[in-house]
Amino acid sequence: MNTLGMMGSALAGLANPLSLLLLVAGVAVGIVFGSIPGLSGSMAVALFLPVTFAMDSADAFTLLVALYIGGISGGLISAILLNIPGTSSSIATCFDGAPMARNGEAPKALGVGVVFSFIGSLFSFAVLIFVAPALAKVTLKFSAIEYFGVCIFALTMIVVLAGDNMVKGLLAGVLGLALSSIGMAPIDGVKRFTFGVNELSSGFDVLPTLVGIFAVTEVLSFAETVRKSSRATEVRQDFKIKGFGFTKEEFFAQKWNALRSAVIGTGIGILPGIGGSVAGIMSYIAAKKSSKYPEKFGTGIMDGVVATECANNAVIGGALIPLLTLGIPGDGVTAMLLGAFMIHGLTPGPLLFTTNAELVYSIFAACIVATIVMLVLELFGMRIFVRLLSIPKYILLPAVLILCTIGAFAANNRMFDAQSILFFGVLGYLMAKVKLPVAPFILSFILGELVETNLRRGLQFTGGSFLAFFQSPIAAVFMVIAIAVIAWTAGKKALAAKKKTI
Amino acid sequence: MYQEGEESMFLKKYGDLAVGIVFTVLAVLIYGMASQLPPNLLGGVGSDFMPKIIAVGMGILGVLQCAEGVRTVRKEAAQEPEEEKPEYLRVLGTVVAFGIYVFTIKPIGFLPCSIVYLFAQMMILAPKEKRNILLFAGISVVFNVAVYYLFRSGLNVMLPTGILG
Repeated sequence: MNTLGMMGSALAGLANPLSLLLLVAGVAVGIVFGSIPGLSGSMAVALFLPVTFAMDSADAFTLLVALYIGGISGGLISAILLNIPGTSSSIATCFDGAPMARNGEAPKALGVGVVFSFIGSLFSFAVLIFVAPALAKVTLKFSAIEYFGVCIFALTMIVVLAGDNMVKGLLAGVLGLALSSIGMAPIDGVKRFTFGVNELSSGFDVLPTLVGIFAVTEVLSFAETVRKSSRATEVRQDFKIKGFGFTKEEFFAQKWNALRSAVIGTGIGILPGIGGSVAGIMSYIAAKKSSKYPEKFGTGIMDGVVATECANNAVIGGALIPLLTLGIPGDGVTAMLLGAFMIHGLTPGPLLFTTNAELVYSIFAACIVATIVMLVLELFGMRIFVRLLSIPKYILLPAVLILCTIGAFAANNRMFDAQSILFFGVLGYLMAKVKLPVAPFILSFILGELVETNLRRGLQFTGGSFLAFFQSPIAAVFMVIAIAVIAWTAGKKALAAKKKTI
Repeated sequence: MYQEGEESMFLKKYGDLAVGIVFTVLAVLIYGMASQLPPNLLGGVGSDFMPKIIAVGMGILGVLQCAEGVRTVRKEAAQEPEEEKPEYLRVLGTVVAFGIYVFTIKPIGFLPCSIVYLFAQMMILAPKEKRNILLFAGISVVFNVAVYYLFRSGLNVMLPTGILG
């Protein structure tokens, strides 16, 4: 069946009360988690992963995708009203969204953010739906050697994520790799670094690790600044929302800005590890550079909100492409979605498109309907979400920690996983204290096992020859890009250092 | 209070060096442990290969970080005015409370542990003037009872019953 036909029947499959309920509930919870600073969409996905165990796979993914979409979009609410990004994806939304609210244009800023989030998401899902199946036909022919090439390329993104301090970024990366090597080794199952602890033989699970690093670390960082944040500003509730808040002319004036931002967001989404925050900021800078009135950026114009919100939502569709076609997750949320596939006995990757095409298309359909639900909920339910922003953190965060503990426990029904979130929480807190960035750690922790498995499998294939990894054209291309990324980043750093000394 | 200020100054001055030393030592340990792994019998590289690569990379980076750390120590620490002293007592309290919580769930049971923990954690995180014992106690009981029954009977997640079971 062709793509459109498959889409049609998948959409029809969603037209039942349970699926719709899951969509609405998922998006609403996602928005709440996204909008409250300190909670995030990835946390929402982590908490609800165990809830999906008992569901059939289509319903499970409907719920998870809805949480993901709501979570990314919800961040704009607090970015605009509080000048605090609800999630890291909406950092750049503060730049113009908050000044707009200060100028008395809060409803307009919210309307623009919501509508262009919607457009950005739809664009990226269109790309996903039309590109992924074709790409899956290519990746179907990938062997361990090509997979290794892709993984190595993905790992080089650590260099990009490292930020200002390259050594610390790389250290965070190797720490992630080291922790991922704990437990039974791939291929021969040799027990590594388990120190006689039985539970460690299957290694640290991705879910507790991420929950620890995100949620527990967040609570510890909040504990440190209680007095400071108890003086935080009040939430603005003194506005009325009517319609979208902007005119048709204003909307169409943004069409090139929106398109450019959606392309940037989707592109960055496909690249592993980089994620929404960078997409938002990059697209904001691109919009400013190509604008006729760059000096107005930051004073509260809708162009800035359009650029960031379009881009950070477009990341979602992009990020799903490598997950579905290769089975390689690029960030925390897609790693948890990968976990969800495993729980339901499925292996994401090119084969999924032939063996479980229906599920793939029902995920696509869920993406689109969830986006529509997001638009409707945020336009009509804004007031409720704004109210929730004023729940005190000292009540909210402890309750979330309890849910995190349940989530970590339920993933494998082992108390050990719940205990390991304490370890990762303290680790994340210490890393923040000494300014080791968390993003490279997470990326390499997720990719570590994939890299090793494919390297060793590939070498078994080639009789131990490393040369073969460069003889496969596809693997070679990825290796060359990987080297180019490193060289380019190093060159840029050197140039910047030179400029500084002059 | 005085001690807290001292500590963050210490972190600023010696933090980089400490990170370098920790990672260098860790690298040596990983390499040593990897060398003791059983030999590979299946062709290709063995289970010790990746850890060794990681250890070598970590070692090189660790030494670089040590060098950076020495530079930071030598530099006269710029006397930045401390904007707000971190409240380490609350952090420590949170770690201890959560630690006790996750290790007592199994023997004592989810419900009693969670009720006590949630209450304690809210007391730890709330500023003194916002502490409302009745409200916190109410939330602890209602929230945990709801969650417990939702997960156990609704979603088949077998949370430990402990002493109540």
